[in-house]
Amino acid sequence: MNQNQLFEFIRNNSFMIDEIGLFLNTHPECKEALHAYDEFKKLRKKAIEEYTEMYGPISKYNVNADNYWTWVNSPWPWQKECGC
Amino acid sequence: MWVYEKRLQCPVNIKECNAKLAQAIISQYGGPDGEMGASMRYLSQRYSMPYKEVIATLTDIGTEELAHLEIVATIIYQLTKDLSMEEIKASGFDKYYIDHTIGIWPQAAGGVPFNACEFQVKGDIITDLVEDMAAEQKARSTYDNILRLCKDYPDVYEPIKFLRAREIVHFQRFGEALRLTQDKLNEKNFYAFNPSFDTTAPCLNDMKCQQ
Repeated sequence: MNQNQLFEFIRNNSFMIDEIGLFLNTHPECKEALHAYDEFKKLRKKAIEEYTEMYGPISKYNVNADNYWTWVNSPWPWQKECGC
Repeated sequence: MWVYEKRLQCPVNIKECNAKLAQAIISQYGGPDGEMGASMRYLSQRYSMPYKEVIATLTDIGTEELAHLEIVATIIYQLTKDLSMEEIKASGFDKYYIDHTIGIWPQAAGGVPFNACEFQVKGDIITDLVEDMAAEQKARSTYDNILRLCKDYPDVYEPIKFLRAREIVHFQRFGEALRLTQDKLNEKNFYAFNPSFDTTAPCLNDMKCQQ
């Protein structure tokens, strides 16, 4: 996956978590939804780690702060060059 | 995109109800210098900002203000949740109670509803950052006024003291954002006008310009 594909994967995957989590708030015992949530959670964690390592942080709680603060550098979501 | 974390930025554990204090503190929820206006101001100003450091500062402080909004709401909730009808009548909380019971609604201490006119988005980096610095000082003064009212209530005093300290830190960060911006202005731009919109320095004397 290139950067855009990986980013798109994170966006879609995160939306699945938003959607399933909302459903689970009112259906907390639904086995199918619980299982799906768990799967998406694992995929998201891995994809975010990979993205952050290669292209920079998408969350302030997950910046690789080795020798430079990279939080401000990449384009912000509303900027045209971002593509996100 | 925002994600909620189920935790307060600073703990709040208030043991005794106090409707009078709650009515004063609610100003920092929906009043003229409250956390709701602060958050909306910074998050809305981000889009027209030309420098990414300033965008990051506005994003992070605007986000933190939402956490402060939750702390203020928690204080009001804990100060009002076990009130008796006698206490509601005696404290003057009855006027609020009529419309909101003990729900939390954004208003100033004097009862004026939250209003977006309490903040500005001018689309000019200098104008907006100077407003942001003033806003942090106004919020700090409001917390100072609250502290004078609650000095005998340590459960309330401590989280208010934390919130007051954050206003000072934010003022400092906005001051740095303004300084960083002024460093990037054209050397002719003595009066610090908007570099993202007005791209060249104005010349008041045409003759001088032609020379």
